[in-house]
Amino acid sequence: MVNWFRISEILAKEAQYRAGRRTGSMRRLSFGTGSLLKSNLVTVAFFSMFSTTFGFMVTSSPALGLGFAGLMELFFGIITTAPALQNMVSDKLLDPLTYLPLNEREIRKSLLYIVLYWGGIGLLFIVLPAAVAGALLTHNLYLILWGSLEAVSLLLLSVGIGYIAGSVSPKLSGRPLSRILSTLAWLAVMSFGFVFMAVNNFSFSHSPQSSLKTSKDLLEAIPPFSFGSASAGSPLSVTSSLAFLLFSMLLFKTGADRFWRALSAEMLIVKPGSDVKLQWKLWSGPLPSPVFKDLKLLIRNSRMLASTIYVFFIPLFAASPFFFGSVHKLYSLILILMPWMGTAVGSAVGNLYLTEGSDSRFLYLLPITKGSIVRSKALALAVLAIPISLMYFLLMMDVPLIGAKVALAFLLSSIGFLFLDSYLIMMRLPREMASWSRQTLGQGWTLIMLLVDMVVAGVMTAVSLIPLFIRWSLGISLPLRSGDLLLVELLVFSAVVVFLTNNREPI
Amino acid sequence: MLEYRNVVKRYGGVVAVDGISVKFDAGRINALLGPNGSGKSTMMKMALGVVRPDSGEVLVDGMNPISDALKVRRVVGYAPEEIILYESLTLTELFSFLREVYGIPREEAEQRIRFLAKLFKMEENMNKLIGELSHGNKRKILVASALFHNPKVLILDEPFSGLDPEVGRVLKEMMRKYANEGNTVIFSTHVLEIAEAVADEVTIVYKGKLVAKGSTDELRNKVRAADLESIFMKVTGLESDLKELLDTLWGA
Ligand SMILES: Nc1ncnc2c1ncn2[C@@H]1O[C@H](COP(=O)(O)OP(=O)(O)OP(=O)(O)O)[C@@H](O)[C@H]1O
Ligand SMILES: [Mg+2]
Repeated sequence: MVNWFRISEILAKEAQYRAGRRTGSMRRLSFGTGSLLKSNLVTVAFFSMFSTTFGFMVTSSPALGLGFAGLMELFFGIITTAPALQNMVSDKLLDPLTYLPLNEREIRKSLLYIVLYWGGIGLLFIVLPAAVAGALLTHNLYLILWGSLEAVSLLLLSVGIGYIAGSVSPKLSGRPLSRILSTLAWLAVMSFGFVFMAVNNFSFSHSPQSSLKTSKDLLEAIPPFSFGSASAGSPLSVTSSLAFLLFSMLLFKTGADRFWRALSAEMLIVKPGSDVKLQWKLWSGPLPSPVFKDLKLLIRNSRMLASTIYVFFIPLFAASPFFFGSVHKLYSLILILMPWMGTAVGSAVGNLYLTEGSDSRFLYLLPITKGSIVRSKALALAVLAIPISLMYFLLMMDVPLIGAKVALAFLLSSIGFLFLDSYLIMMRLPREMASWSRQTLGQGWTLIMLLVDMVVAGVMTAVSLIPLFIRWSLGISLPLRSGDLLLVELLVFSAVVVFLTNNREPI
Repeated sequence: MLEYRNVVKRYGGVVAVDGISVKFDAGRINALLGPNGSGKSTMMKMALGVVRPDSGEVLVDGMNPISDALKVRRVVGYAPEEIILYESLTLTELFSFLREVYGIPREEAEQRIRFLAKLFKMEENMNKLIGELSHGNKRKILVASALFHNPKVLILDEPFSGLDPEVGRVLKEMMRKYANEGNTVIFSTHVLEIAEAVADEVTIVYKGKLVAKGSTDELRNKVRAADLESIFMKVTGLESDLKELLDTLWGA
């Protein structure tokens, strides 16, 4: 009798093997007592630190403290579990198992275990430490009870949503409409946390003094805020929290069922394209065809497309106060932020490597240099950065010169970081034929990439501030203003990176 | 021409290729035979540089597949045993990509694709996602993309598996024509009738070692056997093993 523990071990190994990381420095997957916690140690530590600060908020308002920690858990939960689960479906990781006479319950249990193993357990530690810290500071031990209930129900809820999202978008779909829909679904999943927070922000900042009492009451009834107030024994909060727990359990169950059906292939049947066209034409657009190919792969993978679009728009959202607020004179400040916006865009190039998935093995058969892969992936996203940079220009139309500078800076910075990140990823990929996946890169690697990006962006920003600093401290105006200096820096940076990343080794 | 000089490849404790020296000549169709796990695919992958030999040397047209990887991959056309293709591209998109990778002029590429599409009956599938096609159709695409850039050395790992008889026939003709034009053709198969019918030269490996090489006629005389199957069973020593096994199993 094969038990679920064994199955999850097999699945994790399979994912690892396909990633081409059998040997070497990569952390070995070891299952055994305590390893679930061990594998999540970094996230647990990170989230705990982060969560303890919410603990102080709990002392002044349990509802707000635990509520916001809860929203965080939900947000991180969805963005981590949904992609992991969908990977299992699209990489057909479970196919070999579905042919075997295995007990469905066992496989399901092992699926849950794997989600927990790949970071799920850490999620609990966004809320738990806050609750414990709060309980110790206020001497209200009920906080621990309700905090635990909250953490668990949010975990169930986010894994449930993850299951549903994971069972939606099969990688292959011949129909543009269904692709657009599933891309939108993924975008919704990813921005879920943000929307939630924005709504809450709004309801706090805009509630007039008089209605504060009622809106506070209302808040205490709304999960996850209700859990904090439940610890004070408010009947309404208790009822609503328990109802939420029940709802999360149901959603988890529904999600798991859906996901299961997706895995057992029924939903993964590829709908054949409608009519047979005998006409064909080789690609003859302005883009080199490897770039075209990378764009096609991205467009046909709704999840990666959504996550790319998302990353492209974050900087725009982050800068939105400058466009719509009353801080018009700070346009040059946006300019100085551009290296940081570039780091966000640059990190999205990883998505293009991930869309290759197991098909990446094909590349190893071709006469292709590493540099040309670095370039084609970077250019594919640079193409997408053009409309965004136009958007910057349009938003700053009232001062056209600055608008143009900002747009140019965005584009240059995007190109620079796209090439840089693309190169950093390419150099990390195995020399022998392998599927490219998150496992191939390893978690630590993403961190290193972000760190390198940040250092580069930090140095550029710091250097560009020198004229400002000199004028401020010595009263001397240099001929080159900070914003213009930054543009020159970005130009040099992107040119140097494009030049240096042209690696001529074969893949 | 493809040459192996004293090549060794180990995977951990397993010796996949154990000191093989063999030369595959241009202008001929070479069949590479051997029981499962005898090292055929490993040998083929080494010709492309995707697997590195632990010692010894592989030479493709005088070039080393590791140090001259890019040049070698331009002259080799390789269809792997597993289906490795971009499933979410259409056939046309795949060829557009390959055209630029190999630097084939557009006109020439279009002509070639039309030819291959007709040859392998893929005309109706040009605009479909590759992932939507049947197994045999995917196999055809693998073979067609190996032929696309007119390679001097054509390496096909079990190309006939999954092909229908008509396409199988077409592939045999294609290989013949290709070899006659002075190229090197190497393929592996477990169907000895195909090898007997198609190959000019048969190479048999077993447990990573070369056990026989020559034309079917030469081998027939040398080993004194009637057909390729008997040759195969004799040179690999499987015949006596098999007899012993059957005797025990059948309880004779
Ligand atoms: N990536 C790998 N890792 C470990 N061992 C491998 C790997 N690839 C091949 N081997 C081993 O090398 C040996 C030769 O394998 P190879 O695939 O070359 O055999 P083959 O002759 O092509 O077999 P078949 O007829 O079944 O295709 C086998 O013992 C196999 O287990
Ligand atoms: Mg083989």
